Amino acid sequence: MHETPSAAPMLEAEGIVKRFHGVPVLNGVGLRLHAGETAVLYGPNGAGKTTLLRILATLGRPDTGTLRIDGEDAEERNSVRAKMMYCGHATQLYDDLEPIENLRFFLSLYGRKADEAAMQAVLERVSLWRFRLFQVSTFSAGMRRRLSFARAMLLRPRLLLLDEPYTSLDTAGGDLVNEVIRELNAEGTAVLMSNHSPERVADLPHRRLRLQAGRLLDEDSDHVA
Amino acid sequence: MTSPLAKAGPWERWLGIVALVMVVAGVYWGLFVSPVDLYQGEPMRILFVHVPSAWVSFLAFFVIFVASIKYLRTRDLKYDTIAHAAAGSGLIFTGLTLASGSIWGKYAWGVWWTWDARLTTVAVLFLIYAVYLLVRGLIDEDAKRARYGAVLGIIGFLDVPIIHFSVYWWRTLHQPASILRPDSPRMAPELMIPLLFNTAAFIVLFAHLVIARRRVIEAERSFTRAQQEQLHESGV
Amino acid sequence: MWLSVIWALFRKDALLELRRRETLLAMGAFGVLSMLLYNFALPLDGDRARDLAPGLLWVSVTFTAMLGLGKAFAVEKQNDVMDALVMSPAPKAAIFLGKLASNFVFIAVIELFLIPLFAAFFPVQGNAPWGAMIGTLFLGSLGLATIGTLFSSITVAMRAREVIFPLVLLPLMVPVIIATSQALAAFLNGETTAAGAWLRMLGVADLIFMVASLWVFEFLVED
Repeated sequence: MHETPSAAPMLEAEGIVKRFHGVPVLNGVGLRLHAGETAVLYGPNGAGKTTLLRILATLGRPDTGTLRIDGEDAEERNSVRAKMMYCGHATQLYDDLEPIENLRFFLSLYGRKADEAAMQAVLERVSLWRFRLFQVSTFSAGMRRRLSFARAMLLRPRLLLLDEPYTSLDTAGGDLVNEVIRELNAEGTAVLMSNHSPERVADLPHRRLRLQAGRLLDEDSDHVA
Repeated sequence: MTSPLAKAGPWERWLGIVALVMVVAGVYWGLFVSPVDLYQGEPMRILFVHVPSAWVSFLAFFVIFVASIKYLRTRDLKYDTIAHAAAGSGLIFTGLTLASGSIWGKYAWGVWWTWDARLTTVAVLFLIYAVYLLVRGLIDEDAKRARYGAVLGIIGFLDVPIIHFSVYWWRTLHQPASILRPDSPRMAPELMIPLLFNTAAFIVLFAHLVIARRRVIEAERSFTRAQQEQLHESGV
Repeated sequence: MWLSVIWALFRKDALLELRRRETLLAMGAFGVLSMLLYNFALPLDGDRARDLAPGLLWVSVTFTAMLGLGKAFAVEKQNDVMDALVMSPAPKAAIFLGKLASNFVFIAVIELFLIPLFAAFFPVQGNAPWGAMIGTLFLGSLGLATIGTLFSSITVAMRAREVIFPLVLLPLMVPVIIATSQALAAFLNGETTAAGAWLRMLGVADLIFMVASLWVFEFLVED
């Protein structure tokens, strides 16, 4: 689809194995994701989707297996981390800070200057600009998720990992996520998300992956991804 | 698959036999053969237990320290198991040091506890060992338990000399150095040799205990794994 | 990068504290309470008060600091913010230093608040070397905050964390507790040389704790 044959894949995982108390949750997962591509990860509850996403986000360490981000070994953590972003189940936001304070703080962790205009633009886009003077603790679950997504929009990562991004979002919110993903894809960002409802991503060009019994399958080609 | 409760290996068995022989010989030597210091009398024979166990307590901490660093370098659970085993055995020797020191204190100063510098340091070590094992017991995930344990093991070991010097200075400010100084150069060779022999015996015993404890820990772990795998396969 | 990360964490913690007023309020109240209780429980009159005062002051500070340190990473635990810190490219040691900076400043603020109370509650002469004593308190607090910050990053997510944090912290703090109390006592008794020796020991302990913590912190927060 969006193959860019000359460049290294944005994400390249090989033979990822992760056990919990001896039971393999991931049993040799391999995955290649190219720049500008979106892949959607399906699988029943407990299949290991979150475990896999956390390993790809360098938040978890596989028992065996290699991970390369943009051609670079993921053991070079600080370097590969600058290129990616992971939005997990939890919002990863400070409840007692305002939206802009949250954004400014996380930007500084990435060594970025907080551009007021850019922050305003992003907050307007996720419909939170009106609420900029409220603390996150007053936000609804959907508003929090929007703010969490706004952080990823602001950071413009090369690789974006999303764990069930549509949870607690309304229709408009879900549409916005898809719109932003299309934009990011156009800029060359690779996106991998876990998801449960195929209709939610119907308008998004993507590759379907299925995680089952510790293996990752490409649904479209019926091959190992 | 071998039984999770695999039998003791040759090292464990032989070290156990050697430890048994040496400890029995050492006890006999200390109780019946060795002469008694004129001033300190018969009760001083407890030094033949007290001093070697104190040294082994420190040795155990050193083993945890080295194994912890090795674990963080390699992420090999083998080293974590060694640290864990050394802590369990170290706790025994630290307890033995405290008990024998306390008994000696009752004789020498008429009280069960005195803030002798060495004894106080060992008491703090005892607490750190106990907390180390307690913290480990509260974590379910192998890798996490190993990481947290390693950090605690490293910081604890680096703290030992600081604890020792601070306690030592603190005591010497208030009272003259304790009488319990078996390592003073005036010690007669008739006392020094059995003391060294007993230390060697305790070190062999410690090595045996660490290997045995390691086997038990690994057996426990593979038992839990087998249990989990069975649950997993039966689809629960 | 390092300085901006440290500053960002410190600024954020200070802002949260101004907004929530949880930590400082709890610490301050506890500090005052502990000093009151000493007066009820111990015969603090005349010479005896002067002998006991420095040790009691430092024990109060230790317990008060422990109260705040134990919750130092509570805001990072909430909503899994810690994940966001770990997966950022910021050096983990810089994140440690940022948290340490805010913890240390909180403790220092409480100390500056407790000192006048201490002078009022305990009949210590007004011409005591307050500057030197405050410096001693700060040096002791640095060691306390370093090890406290290190281990509260893990105990915050553990079962029985309220119990386990003091159990981890206090045995490791034995040298800091001895050295700080002794240095305070020496300053109060005008024994400057002895105080200097204790301060040197405290400095060495702080240095070892700091270097070791900067080294191992990433092993606590990284999988």
